[in-house]
Amino acid sequence: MIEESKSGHTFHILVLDDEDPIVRAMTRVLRRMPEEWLDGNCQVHGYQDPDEALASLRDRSYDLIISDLRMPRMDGISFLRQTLAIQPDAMRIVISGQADLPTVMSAVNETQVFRFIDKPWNDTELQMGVAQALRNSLLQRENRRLADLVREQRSMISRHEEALRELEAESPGITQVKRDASGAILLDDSDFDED
Amino acid sequence: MTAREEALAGAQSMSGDRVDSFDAEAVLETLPVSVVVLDAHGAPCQANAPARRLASVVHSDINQGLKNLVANSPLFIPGESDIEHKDCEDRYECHAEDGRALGVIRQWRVAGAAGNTSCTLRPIRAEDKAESAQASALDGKSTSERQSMIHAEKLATVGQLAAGMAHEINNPICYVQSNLGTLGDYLNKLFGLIELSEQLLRDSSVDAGERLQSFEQRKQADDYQLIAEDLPALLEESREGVERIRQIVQNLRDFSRMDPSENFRLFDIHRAIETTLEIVRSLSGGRVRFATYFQSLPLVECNPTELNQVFMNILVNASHAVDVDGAVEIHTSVLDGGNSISIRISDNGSGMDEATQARIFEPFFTTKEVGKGTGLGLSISYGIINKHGGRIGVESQVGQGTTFTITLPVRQEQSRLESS
Ligand SMILES: Nc1ncnc2c1ncn2[C@@H]1O[C@H](COP(=O)(O)OP(=O)(O)O)[C@@H](O)[C@H]1O
Ligand SMILES: [Mg+2]
Repeated sequence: MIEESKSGHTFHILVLDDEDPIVRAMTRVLRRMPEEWLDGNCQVHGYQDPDEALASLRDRSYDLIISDLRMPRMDGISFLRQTLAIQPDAMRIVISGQADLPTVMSAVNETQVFRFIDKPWNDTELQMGVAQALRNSLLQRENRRLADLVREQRSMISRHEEALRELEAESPGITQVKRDASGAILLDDSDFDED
Repeated sequence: MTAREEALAGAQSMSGDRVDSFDAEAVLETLPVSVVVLDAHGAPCQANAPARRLASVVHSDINQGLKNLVANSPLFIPGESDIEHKDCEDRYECHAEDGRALGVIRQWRVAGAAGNTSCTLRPIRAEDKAESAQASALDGKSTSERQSMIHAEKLATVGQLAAGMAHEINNPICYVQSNLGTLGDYLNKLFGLIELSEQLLRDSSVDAGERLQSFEQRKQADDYQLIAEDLPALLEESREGVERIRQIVQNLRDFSRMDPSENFRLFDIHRAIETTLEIVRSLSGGRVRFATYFQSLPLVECNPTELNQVFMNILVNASHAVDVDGAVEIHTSVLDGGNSISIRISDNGSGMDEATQARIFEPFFTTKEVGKGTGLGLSISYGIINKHGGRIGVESQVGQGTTFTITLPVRQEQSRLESS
């Protein structure tokens, strides 16, 4: 089900539900995501088996993980908890037919779920929720990228400062440029003595 | 009819208003159980032969023996002569002359016009200890009462499963509904293509090659290929979803339907188990693994609706008892040279301690929270299996699991058929 990207970014979404027809119906909905909500297209990777889904999470990077809560082999919360360890940066959405308050609370607190979507879902709501999550993940990525950039630049600056300090230690006064009233640099003859 | 049921029937007719219009004494004498008739003050005034025999065990003086047997009646509490008397049952340790104690189960019936009371006596034997539980919720009830109790329990069972059922129906509804949305989207795109092709056909200003090209472009943009490939799958999956919903509703309706006309007939036990299993499987939301190990069985003379209910009760209990990784196995086999069959239903759930096991067949005994358990399932099941001339037993170990074993005769005795 891998399609060519029509425009811009391709988002990778993992969908886990123990029932195949649910996975397929959701894939269809996400594939026809309205362009005005999301710049880019969705590539959905559907799984019925939580262990296979986890294996795939170790394999490739995802923007969004969508999981059912009630599954026979592993409950959704513990699955999401594990995804948190593997891909902390991915967004998480829970789809559930019967989420009681304690479950919702533990999902929010323990697994940083971005949104709950009822089953049966409303296609439009699902698309909007997913689009929002993906935009968020882009934003987060962008923020992180910027933060990294800033950090990198900071370290560059401090490396620069470090070099200057070393230079100053070797030849005191060399980094202190003296200027006259017109701004012209004054050179002391002694500066060249060593050469 | 068992001796016990006959005794009850006999005692019942004695307590009716017709008691004066026929020879009560003659009827009394023919009863195979001990019956003592008491006057308005609680003194024995009549006893049939079995009762006199029992009294003679208790005391060398038969009259004293009778008095001892009916002493401490719950109906005749000293100083409370004007309380309203009600039919009831008690267990009593009767002290015999030689110092031994004789345990008896006493069935008290308040009589009609004459103001008499009857007491049916049954010694407690070892097997009664287990059998006491068998004072099933169904015993001593009229057919219509039985029917409505069975029906009520059935509905309660279904009620308990409502959450699982909602989940089970919810999933197909979810994807069928979503697929319809997708179908709408696909159709819009296809109609768009048809409109475009019509437009292109009419537009003679562009040459054929160009027209074809713009049509191809639009097809590509609208994911025509993808839609064409996906449509059959979408329709098939949705059809299956609707079929699943239909099946669940059908099963529930079959199960909750009351069919008083249904009687004993030759029936495939495996089919009964499968039908019930199908409901329980779907209602337990896929949380439990069920496995069947069927030996080839003869047709069994039974009341299928009632047996379905027994299987339902046991399977539902099993699915309540198991945790994650729950597994339930159903084994059937032929016993006794083909004269009876056995059905074993095992789970790997919580199990029960001895004290619980001893009480599970008692009506209204439940360890489940209010709303989840009625405590009637197994007592009704017991009654049903008993009525079939079969047996139901339990083996269980805390933390290990539980096995219920049901044995049923392949053919009913003629007398049982007539009395049912
Ligand atoms: N498979 C089982 N495993 C553990 N306990 C059981 C099992 N089946 C029955 N029980 C116990 O027997 C009790 C009575 O069962 P039942 O008569 O069906 O009533 P209910 O299910 O409404 O409680 C249950 O409450 C439970 O404690
Ligand atoms: Mg039960």
